[in-house]
Formats: sequence, C-alpha cells, structure tokens
Amino acid sequence: MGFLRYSVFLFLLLILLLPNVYGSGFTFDGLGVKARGMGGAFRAIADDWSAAYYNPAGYNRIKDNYLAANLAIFHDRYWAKPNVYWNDIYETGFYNGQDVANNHEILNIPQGGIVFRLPVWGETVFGLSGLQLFDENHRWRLYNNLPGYGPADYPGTQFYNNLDVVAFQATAARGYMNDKLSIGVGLQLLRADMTYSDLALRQNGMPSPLSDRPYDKIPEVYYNNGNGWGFGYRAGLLYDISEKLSAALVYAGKSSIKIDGSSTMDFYLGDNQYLIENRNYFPNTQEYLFASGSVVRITADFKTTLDVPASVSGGLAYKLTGKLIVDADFEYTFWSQFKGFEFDYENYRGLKDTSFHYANDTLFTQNPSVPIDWDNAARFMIGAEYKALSFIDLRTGFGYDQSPVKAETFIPQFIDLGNKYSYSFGLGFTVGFWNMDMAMTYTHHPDLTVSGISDVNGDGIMDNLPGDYRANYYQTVLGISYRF
Amino acid sequence: MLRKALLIVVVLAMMTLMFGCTDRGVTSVDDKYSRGATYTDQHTFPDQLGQSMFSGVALTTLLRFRVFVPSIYGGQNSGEPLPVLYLLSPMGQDEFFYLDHGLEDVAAKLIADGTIKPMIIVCVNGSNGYGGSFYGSNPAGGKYDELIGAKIGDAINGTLIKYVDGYYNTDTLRSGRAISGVEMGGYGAMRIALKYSPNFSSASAVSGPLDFDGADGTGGFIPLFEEVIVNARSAALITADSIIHFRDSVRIEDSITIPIDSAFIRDSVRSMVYTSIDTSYARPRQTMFFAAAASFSPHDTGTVGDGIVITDSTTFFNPEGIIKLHLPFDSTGAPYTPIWNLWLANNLQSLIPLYPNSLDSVPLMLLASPQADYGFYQQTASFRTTLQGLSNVNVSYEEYTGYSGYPADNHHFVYDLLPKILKFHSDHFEGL
Repeated sequence: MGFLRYSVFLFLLLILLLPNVYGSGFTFDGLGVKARGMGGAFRAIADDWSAAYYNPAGYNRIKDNYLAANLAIFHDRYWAKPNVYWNDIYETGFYNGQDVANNHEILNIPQGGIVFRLPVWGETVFGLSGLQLFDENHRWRLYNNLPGYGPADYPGTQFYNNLDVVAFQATAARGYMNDKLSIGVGLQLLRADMTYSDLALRQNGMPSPLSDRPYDKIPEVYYNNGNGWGFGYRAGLLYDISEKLSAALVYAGKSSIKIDGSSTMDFYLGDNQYLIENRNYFPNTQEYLFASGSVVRITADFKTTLDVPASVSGGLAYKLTGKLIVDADFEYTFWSQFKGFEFDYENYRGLKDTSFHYANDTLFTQNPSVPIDWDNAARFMIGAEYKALSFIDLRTGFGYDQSPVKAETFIPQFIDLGNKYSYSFGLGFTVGFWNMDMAMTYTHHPDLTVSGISDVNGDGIMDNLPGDYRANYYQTVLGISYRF
Repeated sequence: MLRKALLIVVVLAMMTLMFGCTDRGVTSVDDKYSRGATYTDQHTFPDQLGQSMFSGVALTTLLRFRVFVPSIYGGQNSGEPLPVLYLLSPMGQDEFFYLDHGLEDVAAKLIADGTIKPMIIVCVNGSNGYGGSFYGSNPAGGKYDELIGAKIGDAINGTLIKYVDGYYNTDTLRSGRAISGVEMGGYGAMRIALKYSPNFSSASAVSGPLDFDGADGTGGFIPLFEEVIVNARSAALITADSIIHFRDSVRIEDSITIPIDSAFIRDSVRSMVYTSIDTSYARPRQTMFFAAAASFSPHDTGTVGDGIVITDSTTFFNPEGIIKLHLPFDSTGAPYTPIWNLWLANNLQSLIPLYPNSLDSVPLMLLASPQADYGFYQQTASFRTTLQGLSNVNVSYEEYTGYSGYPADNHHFVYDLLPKILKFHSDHFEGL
C-alpha cells in the first residue's frame, strides 16, 4: 500500500511539474471504443485491439484470439470571425467581423484489428490493425474581393485541409517475469493522403497605378493533392506492480512521410476597365494582364514531407474493487517536430509570355508555403470502468489536452483553439463471445483570439489568420468484437 | 438480451448522428450593390481656357470630366435631384484618376449600405500641357478656379457648375455641392472653396501643396528646387546637346550631384526649345514646377489677353516655343524672389486675407500622410495650423500611413481615403 501511495504521488507530481507543455495538435483521438469511453486513459489497461496504439505491450493480456472493428463518427464545428487588416486599418477582403462557419462534415472513420496468440518464442501475441493516427478535414470560405477589385468568383474551398494518416500496424507482445512484465512493439506502414488549399495574398510588384489599392495584393488560391508512404513504430511496457496496480510506458517514434502530387494555383488579377481604357494597356501586354480581371491558372508538381511527431506516454491503472478499475494517463507529443507543409514545386505549366518577367519569375513561381511553429504538448486523461452487471460495463473519462499552437502561425487548416477539456462516457455489452461497445465524447474548446498579422519567414505572405475562433466537437465511437 | 443491447446502441448512435447533421451551409455574406454608371463628358469653355498658352500645344479649350451617377439616378428630368461632389485630379492625372482607384465601387457600396447619401460625383481632369493646371487663374495658364468654382453663364457658355447643373438632375443649392481633391487637386479644392465659398457646402484635401513655403518660410517647395537644378547639372555633363541634357537630367532626378558652371545651365535652359512634354510624368519635380509656373508665373500673358508681361529674364524659360514661363528658383536652386513672390501670392495663406471669413461656413477636412511625396505632408500640416489660427473655421484633420512594405506615398491609398472623403461631404449635404 505504501508503494501505491508513493506511485500515485509521483504521478500527480509529474502532472504538476508539466505546466509548460501543450496539447494535442491534430491527433485523432477516436481510437478504440473502450479507450474512448474512458477518456483515452487506457495505457495501463490496454486489453483490447486498440492497445496497438495505446500500448502494444497490452496485447500480452489478450488471452483469446480476437477480431474487432470500430467506427468513429465525429463532428467538428468551428466558427471564425476574421480580423485581418493591413496596419490594423485597411480592409483585406476577408470577411472581417462576420461569424463564418466551416463547411460542416460528419467524418466516419472505420478501423479495427485482429489479434492472435501463437506459440512463437514460447508464446507471443501478434496483431494486425488499421489505425487512423491523424485526420484533419477543415474547409473554409473566408475571403472575397474588395469592392472594385474585380468580379471574379472565388471557390468555396479556399482554406482546406483534408489530411488522413493511416497506420497499418503489425504488433507483437509477450510476457516476462511470469507475465508481470509485458513488452510489445508495433511496426507501422504509414499512408498519408492529403488535399490542401490555401489563399495567399501576394504583394503586387507592378508599378502604380496597377499596384495601388485595392490591387496591392494579388490573391492566389492553390490546391495541392498528393499522397505518400512512410514507416513508424511504437513500443510499450506494461508492468503489474501489484495485483491491483499496473504501470505503463509507451514511446512512438518520429516518422516522416514523403508526399508528392500535383498543384493548381489560381491567381486572381485585378479588373479595372478604366485603367485599360485610359492607360492604353493593350492585349498581350503584361500591364493588360494585371488590369483585365484574368484568373491565371498555373499547374505544377510538388513534393513535401509530413513529419509525424514522436510521443512518449504512460499511465497507472488501479483496481479499486473487483468491479471498478481506474486509469490515469499522460501523453507528451513533440509537436515542435511538425513543421506543416513546406512545398517544393517544379515543372510549372501555364506560364505567360517570356517577356512577362515579373509575372513569371516572381509572382507565379513564388513558393506560397506557410511555416508552422508549434510547441511540444501534453495531455492528461483519467478514466474508470465499472462492471455494473455481468454483461454490462459502464465507462467514463475526462481529458485535459494542451494546445501546441502559437498565434504567429495559427491557420484554420490546422485549427486548435487552445487547451481543451473532454468528457466521455461509454457502454459495453457482452453476449457470449461478442462485445458491443459505444463511447461518446464531448470536447470543450476555449474561444481563441488571434491578434495581428505575422510573417514569420519574411516572405511577404502572412503566416497566420487573425480573428476570433470558437468550436464544438463531439464524437461517437461504435465497436464490435468477437473472441475466438 | 442481445436484441435489447443492439437496440440501445442503434438508438444512441442515431441520436448522435442527428445531433450533428445540420447543414450550416455558407454563412458568409458578400457585399451586394449596384454599381451605378459613369459617363464620359467634356465641354469647351472658351471664356476660361480660350486664351491659354496650352491650347495650341496639348489641350484645347476642352475640359474633360467623368461623371458618376448612382444606380437610383433617374435621369435629367426625373427623380430626386442629387447633390454633387467635384473631385479634382492631382498632378499628372486625369478624369479617370479616382475611377482608376475604385471610386465607382466604393461610392456604390457606401450608397447601398446607407453610409453616404446618393450623390453625383464629377471627376475633373485638371491637366494642362504639363500635367497640371494647379487650378490657378490667369489667361495664359487657364482660369481653372473660375471655371470649376464659379456659377456664371449658362450650361453652354458658363462654367462647369452651370454645365453639370444644366445637364444632370442636381441639387443646385450650395448645400448640395462640395469639392475635394488629392495633392494638386487638394490645393485646387481649397483654393476654389476659398474663392467661391458661397457655392460649396464643404471642402477637403489630401496631402497637397497647401503651403508653398512651409511653416517657417524655408520648407514647402523650396527644398525641391535644388533637386531639380542639381540633376540638371549632372545630366549636362553627359552630352553637348542641351535639349537632350535637360530632358535626360530630369529622367534621373535622384542621381548624383556633379557641380558645373551655373551659367551654363541657365543659358542652356533659357535657350532650349523644349519639345518633349512630360505626359508620362517621369520627371515629376521638374514637370510640377513647369506646370505651377505656367499657372503662377507665366511670361507673357500680354499676348493672350490681360497685358501683363514679366520683364525679368533671369529664370525665363520657353520650353515649347509657345509656353513661356518663369521659374521661381535660380540656377543654384535658391528661390528667386521676384518670381517666387508671384507664387507665394497664390499660396493659400496669402489668399485667405483676400477672402475674409469665406471659410467660416465651409467645413473643411484635411488628410495627410507623413509618407507623402514632395513634402506635401508638411505643407498640409502647416496649412492646418494656419486654419486653426482662424476663428470660426471648422477643420478636421486626420493622418494616415501605409503598412509594412507598402508606404502611403504616391497614390497607394486613394482607394481607402475615398470612403472618408465621401462620408465627410455626404454628412454636410442637406436634403435627401
């Protein structure tokens, strides 16, 4: 008992000593229906297929062969009220002051795995699973031309990020010290699919009056579509300190996924017939191009690297009674390793006449990538499971999730409004060899105000999007499993 | 039991899905407004421009202007008469200047959302052969202030106001008329408001030459004089052809200083026949002073009407063979008093005592940028100080700057100043 108190004290102390770490970035946390019902506090229990993610060592606790499937359904509903002015005064074309909702979508994420115990190296538990590690899907329309700029219609998708990172993981775990200690390793084949668009306001380098307000900025909407592969791994320990107390430690290594694909870049040039009429800008001249309301489409090939950050996590589980178990976890993610998408472009197509030096050499071929600069982040979770009846389990959990995002590089494609609180509950039904589970989570996001335009890399393109943001997020996870 | 469990799960799942399924659609709202229309217009005004020395060079007695009418405008003989704002072009610009900078959409949007009253906006081309009339008043340079500000004659033979009131459905009362301008246009607006204050309900100016010699008598245009001469000197070393010398010199106005015998410059300038009018406005300082000289210190108005001839030949210049003028600075760039005094007589500070109390009933607005070209910020600020020293004059003043990498020089921010200008004058229009 003294050891238990000591351990709990150390764990709480660890939490208190980590006030400067931040949250979850864009980690998808709808993994595992039992784990979600416990608020994600599952690493020191880890007794179902989702242990592949939470703690691969937990596979050693699965005594039966096991087949499971989950479906996570989640809604992320965000609002942005842009506040983007040049010099805090001049209108930019953003819907300043308007409460704009993102395009709402319900995301369905299937995942699952199979676990089987084989007589290899004594006895080893193996598993194959499909995990969705990251899922971003945000689509915004926040911009339209300033009055007088021109009549061109902008696409509904201006700020868009649809990023899916799926891990196909092979896991192996076995026990030592009479199974008091379990060790597990998972090797991952990572697949990333990405559709990313952004609106960059580019400084117009043409002479006056072609570059006088409201033509000082040239909006560029680029749309990148690509995919790629990478490798990753996870490793975990699970140790039974006593019959009632277990401790877990998990490490996930950094992975880099090489992505390539094609890009479409649309440049919306000013439309001023008075300039054309009065200044004798003739067709087929660069001046005419910049005053005629043209939408110039350039295409190119791109490459980028998605750095999936490393993380370290752990937990303690304690059986309070024969029916009630509680688990408290932490996770620390090295989000500073994530740098967003730095696109490299090549094979430009659609450039204009070679005499249009400014257009071709500077405007159409300038890299519009925006940098991401995040802090490392942590999350803390506590959950409980209570066996109410022989065939019904009740679960609940609470999570505190720190944000890695800095205002200087805040963009709506990777939206994270700050430190979050999540509340979960779940149910599990056991009928024979079958288990059916569900979990629901509501996550409270704080309101966020991003003030002031920043240009972190000094390329003349703003690297954040000032405004007021708010959000609602809730998800449901359904699961079914069969032991054989 | 299995059936019950499944039922519970399905019901909960359905509730969850329904809770989040509302389609919020696109929630942003775009500006909706009708653009209105603009008309190209022009008219000959022989009484004011017929004797101009420029009429035989680049322009005729024609004054060009472009008229914006809002979408509610019903035509000359229908609907409510609308107030009129006259916008005067700056140096080197024309009747398209404000439209080039988005006036049509800015005005239409502000009218549509009720920020300003529906109004007619007359964009005046204040150019002469050198790109700027300075809205002065003499037969040789054109009687622009009278042409724009006075109400004399009729729609055919009178002034611009008479023409506009005759051909458009306008509010012909003073309370329905205002005047404004950028840079040289700002000077024109203040000059005309001062001289013809019974015809205007308000006036405004943006970063203009509103105090020729600055607050202490050594600022304003004076620092620019030497820049013109210095560059003329540097260019004069390049080639023996004096015509090319001077023309090239001002193309590199900001080049290095190379001393040369001042007499050479003076003689070169005096003797040349200047054949290249700077319509591209590539030599802004020199061109600005030629234009102002044509308005404030023309040589021989005797040949065109009023019999005044400047006999002093020290800074005489005859660039077009027809255009004869006197520059206000000597070959060292220092003010040449006999001619400079003629300019100062046109300085607003000098005109104010000639029209006492005329601005008392004309609300004024001055906008100035510390980043403005040619020291116009200092000139505007100095004029503001002058106005503040007058009792009963209502003047508002506001400064503006650009943003990082994009200063408020040149005409970069006219687009953003137009709403302020339109709102100011709308607020002082009566009726509607």
